Amino acid sequence: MAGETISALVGRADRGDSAAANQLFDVLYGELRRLAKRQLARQGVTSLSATTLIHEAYLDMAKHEGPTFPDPARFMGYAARVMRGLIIDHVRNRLAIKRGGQFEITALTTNVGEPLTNDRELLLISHALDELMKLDGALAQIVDLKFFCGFSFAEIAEMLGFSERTVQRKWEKARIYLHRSLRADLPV
Amino acid sequence: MDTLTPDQWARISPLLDEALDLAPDERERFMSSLQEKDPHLATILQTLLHEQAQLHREEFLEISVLSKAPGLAGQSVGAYTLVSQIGQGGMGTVWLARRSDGRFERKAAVKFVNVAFASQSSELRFRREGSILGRLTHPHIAELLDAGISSGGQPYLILEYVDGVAIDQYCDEQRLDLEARIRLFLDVVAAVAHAHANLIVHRDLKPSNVLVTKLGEVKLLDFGIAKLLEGEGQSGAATMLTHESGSALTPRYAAPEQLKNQPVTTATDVYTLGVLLYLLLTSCHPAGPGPHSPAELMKAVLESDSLRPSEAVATGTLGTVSEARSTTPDRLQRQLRGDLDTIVAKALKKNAAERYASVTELADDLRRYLRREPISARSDTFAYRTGKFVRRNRTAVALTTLALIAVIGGAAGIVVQARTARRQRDAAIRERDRADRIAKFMTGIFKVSDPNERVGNTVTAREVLDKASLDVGSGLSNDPALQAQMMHVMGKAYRNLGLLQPAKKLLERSIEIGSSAFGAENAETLETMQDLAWAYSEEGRFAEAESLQRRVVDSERRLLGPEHLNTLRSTGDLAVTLCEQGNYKEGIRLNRQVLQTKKRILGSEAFDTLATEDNLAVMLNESGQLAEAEKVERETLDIQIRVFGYENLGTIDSMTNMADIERNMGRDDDAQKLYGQTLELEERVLGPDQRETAITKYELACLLAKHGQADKAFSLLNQAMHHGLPPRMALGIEKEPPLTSLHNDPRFSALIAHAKEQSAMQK
Repeated sequence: MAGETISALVGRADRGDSAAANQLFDVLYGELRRLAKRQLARQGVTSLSATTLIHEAYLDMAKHEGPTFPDPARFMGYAARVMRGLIIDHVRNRLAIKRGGQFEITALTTNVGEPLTNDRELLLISHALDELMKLDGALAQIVDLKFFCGFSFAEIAEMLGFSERTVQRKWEKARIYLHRSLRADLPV
Repeated sequence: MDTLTPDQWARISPLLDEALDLAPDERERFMSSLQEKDPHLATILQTLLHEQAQLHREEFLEISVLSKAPGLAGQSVGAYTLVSQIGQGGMGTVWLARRSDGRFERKAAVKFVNVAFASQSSELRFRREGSILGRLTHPHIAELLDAGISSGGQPYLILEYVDGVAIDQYCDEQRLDLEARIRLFLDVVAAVAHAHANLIVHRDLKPSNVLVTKLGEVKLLDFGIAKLLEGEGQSGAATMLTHESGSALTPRYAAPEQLKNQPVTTATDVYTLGVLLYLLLTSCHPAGPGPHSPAELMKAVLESDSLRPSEAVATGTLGTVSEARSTTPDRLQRQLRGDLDTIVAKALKKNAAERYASVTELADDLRRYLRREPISARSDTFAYRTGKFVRRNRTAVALTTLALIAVIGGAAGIVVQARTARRQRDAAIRERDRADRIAKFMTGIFKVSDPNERVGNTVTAREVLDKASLDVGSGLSNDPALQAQMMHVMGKAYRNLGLLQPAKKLLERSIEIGSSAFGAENAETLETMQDLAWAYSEEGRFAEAESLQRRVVDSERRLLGPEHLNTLRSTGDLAVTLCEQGNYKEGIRLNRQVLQTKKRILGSEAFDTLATEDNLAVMLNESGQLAEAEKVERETLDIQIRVFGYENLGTIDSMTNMADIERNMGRDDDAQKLYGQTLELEERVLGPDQRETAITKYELACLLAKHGQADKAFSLLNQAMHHGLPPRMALGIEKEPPLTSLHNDPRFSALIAHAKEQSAMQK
């Protein structure tokens, strides 16, 4: 991996360095895409999941970077945000005219029987999450992990060092916020 | 307010935290105090909380964008993390999972149930039932660790992970012989029995649900899960039928009642275990060689009788099948014939009431088979049969060796059981010891010729009895009660074989021993006297039979009471003897009394009651009261067909009696039809060589001869006289009026010559 190590980027991003955060996003994005492609090629379309991808990405990177690599919980937090980016990009591509050679993550969504959220709503949610991130980072992270990656409350609690009950409460709050953002016509 | 401004959010966020953590009543207090302090903020908070409740109900964003569908690797279900998919079927997908919390290393199988199969299961019910099943712990049952519905609305089951292969595949791979297969199968039965004791029925036993591990350990999967998948008040059949095309829950292993939408009970598991046993023994399906469409299978399960296992193996590639059992085709068929055929048939009865009453009884019979002891499967029928009025010596004794063993073993068992129920505990223990000794004695007897062979295949009934009657005199002399009992049982067996001399000798000796040990007036000795009286009447010595029976009835009335079953049976026998001497008036009166009492005490559908009612019909018929005879017999027959089905010796007997009545009423066409129908049943159920079958052939031949069908009549007479017709009847053909039309035919002379020859040989 060229340039700064992930550990350094994570450290700077943690201290609020937005340039480092963007760089970290790009690195992780590339890594997750690469892994997704590899998984698709290896296993076909049935068993690809965000959580596996993120886990594998972590293991891959930790192997390269050595012992200074951040703990999985911190990594997952960032990776989940990146995963959302991956999905949203996919959705944008789906909405735009299809071009050849695009990375397809339909495999990720083939199992979505009846999507609760349509593509446009997904974009709105992602946008609202960016807003929420500024207000309360933990809330947005929980949505990334749960809604976009499919982690359970228990796993999220462990990653973020909260109690499960706290994660659930934050999730409830996040839902209210997002719902309000999506349905701007709701009365107070 | 639409999107919450950062400012609003900053103020409302801590309040939300607080309110969301409160219980409803606490929250109400919290809200009213906020209302006082800041009404505007309180209104906003109230709206948001209301919205939250709504979102919670709607499961807003609850299902991950990636996986509405279950179990993508890495996801968590309960305390487990999914590793990889290990199976997929109509019912859903199965995943290998590991415990997420790492507290201990444990593999599990997570089953995601297709929503279609679980549509009616509420989450609560799923969890409740799951927790009941979770309590089922048995070494041969894969434990259900958890059941529930994921946040995505996906029902799941978490089971102990079993690394094994389907039992049928295992048996073939290991080339297990029949005994080893039965032993393995007994582990399956033990697991099912344990579940039944916990009031859980499996409902979906099939090879793929019965795995064997590398260590040779049986593990049952999916206990009670079929039930879990049903909605309340919806039975398995509905599920099965609506999913015929799917690979799950096809009727291949379903019991008739499941296909008919009738209640599923433990008897259902007896049936499905029967199918599994059939499969393990023969590698064939009871419905016959496939492939079957679901509709064909259903028809087979509901309507046709399956081939006996010993016949079924011959329909397939017998060489391969026997090789997989480490034996030769010949030996395999021989091993299956007899006991195993019988055991499987009893488990597979279409009528649940005729199957083994419990899976434990099925196991008991298989264990008896393995120990070379007599099986129980036939004893009921024969116990019934031996206590029945039979016209013209139709003693109803389709006695093959196996059946004889069943009678001996069964009778001994019945006596012991009846007493255990009556006496105090210490007596019960004594009886148990005695049962052990009986068992040992019996096993000794059955080692007649080749100890390596099943007795049924090599020894005749006569041989067994002869050996036993020699042993019983010496071997059991230190236990006179047991000695008397065994002589009684064997005396009956001889009598049922038509061997009256040794029968009388043993019965008389039994009475002697019993009387000197316990005095003449004890229940068992009285029963033996009753059987001796029957032997007298078989010989035609009716007066002696009558006087002995009167003595027995008197004693039993005093000793046991007028309504004791023994008393009633003896009185019924006396009624028969009276009628046999032409005293129909007293005989019928006595029989009516007995019938009335039995109906009251035992009910109208009991074996004993029906036998007495059948006798009444015969008595009425013989005394010329044909209209009433027909009415009574019709009633009896209807009940028997309904309760026991056609393939039942009692039913068959009533059918022949009905045919007799119809013939006497001059309805020859009806009678001929019914004789034909009965004959077909007898040949199938009893076999072509039995006395019963021969007598029916004789009756039918008489009718045909009367109506000028000489060829058919001769063919039947010929068969009857060469296969089981009692010599006395064979010698009597010259005097049989309907046969006079045949007298001038040379074939008739040949038959008479044959009868005389046979009779001379007997002497």
